Amino acid sequence: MKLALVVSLGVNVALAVMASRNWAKRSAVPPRPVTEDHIPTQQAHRPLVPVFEPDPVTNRFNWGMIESSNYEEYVANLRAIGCPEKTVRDIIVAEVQKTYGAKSAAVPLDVKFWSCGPERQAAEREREERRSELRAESRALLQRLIGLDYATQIGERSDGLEMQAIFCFIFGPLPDHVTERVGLALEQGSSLGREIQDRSKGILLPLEKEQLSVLREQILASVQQLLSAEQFDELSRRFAALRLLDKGFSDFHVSASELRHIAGMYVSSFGPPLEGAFNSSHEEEEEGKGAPKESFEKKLEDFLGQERYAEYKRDTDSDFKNIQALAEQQALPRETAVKIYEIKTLFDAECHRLLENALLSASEFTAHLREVQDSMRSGLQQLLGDKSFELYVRQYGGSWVTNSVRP
Amino acid sequence: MKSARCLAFSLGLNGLLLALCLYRAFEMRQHEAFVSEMTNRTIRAIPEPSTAGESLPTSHPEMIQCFHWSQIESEDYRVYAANLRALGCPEATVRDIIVADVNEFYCRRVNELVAPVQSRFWELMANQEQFQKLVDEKGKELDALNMQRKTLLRELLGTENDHSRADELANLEAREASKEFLDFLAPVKFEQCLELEQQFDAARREVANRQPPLAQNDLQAKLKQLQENQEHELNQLLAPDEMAEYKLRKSGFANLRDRLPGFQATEDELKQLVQIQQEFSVTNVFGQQQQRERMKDLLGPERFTQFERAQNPQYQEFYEVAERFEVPSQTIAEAYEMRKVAEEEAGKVRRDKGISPENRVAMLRAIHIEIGRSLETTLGAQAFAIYHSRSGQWLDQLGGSH
Repeated sequence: MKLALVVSLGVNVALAVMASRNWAKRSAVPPRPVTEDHIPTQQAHRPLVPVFEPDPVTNRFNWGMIESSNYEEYVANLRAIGCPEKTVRDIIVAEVQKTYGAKSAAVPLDVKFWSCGPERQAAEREREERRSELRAESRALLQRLIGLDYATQIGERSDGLEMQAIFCFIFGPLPDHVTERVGLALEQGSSLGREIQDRSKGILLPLEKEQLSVLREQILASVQQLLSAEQFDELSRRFAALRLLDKGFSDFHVSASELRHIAGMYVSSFGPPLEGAFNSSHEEEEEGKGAPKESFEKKLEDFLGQERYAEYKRDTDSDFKNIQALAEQQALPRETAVKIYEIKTLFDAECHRLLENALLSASEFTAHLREVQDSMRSGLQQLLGDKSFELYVRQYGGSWVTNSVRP
Repeated sequence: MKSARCLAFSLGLNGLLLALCLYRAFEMRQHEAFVSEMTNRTIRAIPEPSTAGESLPTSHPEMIQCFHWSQIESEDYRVYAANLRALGCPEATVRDIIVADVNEFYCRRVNELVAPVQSRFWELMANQEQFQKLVDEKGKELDALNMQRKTLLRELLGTENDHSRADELANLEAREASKEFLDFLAPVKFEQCLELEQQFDAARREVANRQPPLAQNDLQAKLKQLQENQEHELNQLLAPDEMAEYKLRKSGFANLRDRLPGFQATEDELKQLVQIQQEFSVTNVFGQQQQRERMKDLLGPERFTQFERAQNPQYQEFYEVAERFEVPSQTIAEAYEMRKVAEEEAGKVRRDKGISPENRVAMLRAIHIEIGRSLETTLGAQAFAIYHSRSGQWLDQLGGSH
């Protein structure tokens, strides 16, 4: 029994030592429950937790040990100490952007202050080319360091939360990492597209048009890779819907399913407008696309039927919007607005017809049009009453009724 | 009996200690697994597959054993920031890490805010009134979140860090512009003057951004005072001829150098042109005529014509397009002259009462066709097409009889 007691006491001592070591080891790791609710905000009024106190082990570490003038080494060091990949990215993107931002700002305008004309323009072009090279260099460096084609430059990304909310609403319930990568791809397209547009000063050369077109295809392909066919279709339609609404579609009443269908027709006519969501390149291209525009309008007419298509044309016309604003302000029925618009449309058609008639002299042209104008004015006065008529002429685009008509 | 009781107690203690050891061991394993994923981000995107070459850390390999990032992370941003600073992390890097992290956290809060309405995209887009109501409602919540975020960042980074990277970049660019502006000074004076410029620029920014904002009159008065102080300091620093040059460069007329596409002038000519403009800045028609005469004397009749043309908006329209297509300046000038001649001709035809309407139409159409063809030949088909679509309204109107 005595032997058993001695063995048992020995085991007790051993276990006690082991337990105390475990306990001490555990205590060295600060507890960090990771829940969003615990992230402090000004409202949370959380007590300050004591800051990190270097223990005998970590005391040997300081930031200088991982910093390096060599980016590759810096990244490798960060990874080696277990820095999460996203934090590595945050640090490196910011570092590279700042470094290249400073380099870009420091590119001199290699010309004297008192210079003008071709000399100054050549220097400005040269500086822009050098800056463009630096942007390409910084993108290549980031690609090499963190495997990310990060084209967005300082100041291009809004740090407001509104853009995030808009993104989130448009993208719908996609997984976070997919949303982030699609967002980055679109940002990249937008940034590179803007660079080409800026360089062109609004006048795109054939080569630049080609570059924009290739870029558009590349961005679309990378977004397509990230999404399923259904997700890509849905996202394309959503961007198309935004474009349509932006172009005045919001004033024409359609149901949710009709809007989705029309957005699909837009995509099938113009292609997915994804990259155009962030700059005007697509819009500009679209203006030139006569055939797609005609195809879209034809599809729309077929889908809505002639009567609703005519309503759509009217409701999205800025003249009608003006008249409608007057009607709302003066509490006039919608029918009155429609009638006024019809009168205005008739007047425009008559103007056009007379302008086409090259055999009319200037005085004959003016006399004819004055006659039309007079008859229309009395019709409008009857419809609106004196007060509203005056308001229409002064503030709501009705000056065509009273302006002296000149060819 | 006593030994038996001691043995029983000791065995009991054995069991208890063993259970404690096992529990600690299990907890440690759980914790280690947690620590390996530790970050103050609660949701992380799947890491990008890195295409970068796997380079190994080259300096201080011993630190890998002694330090892990998880040791500085905390649920509390203040602790996280303090831990980074305690390690000697540069303030700019602390800022980069904290700003990115806090932004990401608030992005997730935004996602939570928007998530309930994501599936109603089409319904809301088709009903703009309802959508607008929602935007107003969510907009208030977004403003509150934005405010929270800014407050948190100020608390973590201090108000002196309360400026964006875009602002920093703008400051750098402004500094470079100042360098170009002061390039007439010797190195020592250049540095002193640059410092003075920056000092007063900062003072002006401070006055303009003061919270609460100054009343307009007070603001103007303060800015004027700063201007006078700066001039006083500059007068102490610069010789009279340097001060004169400084003032000329600061003059609003100095941007003439940016408004002369295609016109080449020497430094001396350009300075004199700016001086003449400055001299006649507030003047009448007679003064304007005098100004033109002075400029004409300076440049000679031919170059004066070029100088005036360079500032003409119609010439600039040609220049903007043609320059992109590398059309020579002389050709651009020819195109501009063609327009002038064509418009004069068309005007004559329109004013001539002796011409019948039919003939007038025919003559105007002929001018229209001729000028279009000539411009296309002169500028090249592509440049002409772009010019026509951007600025060719006059060309289309040229053929009209009215």
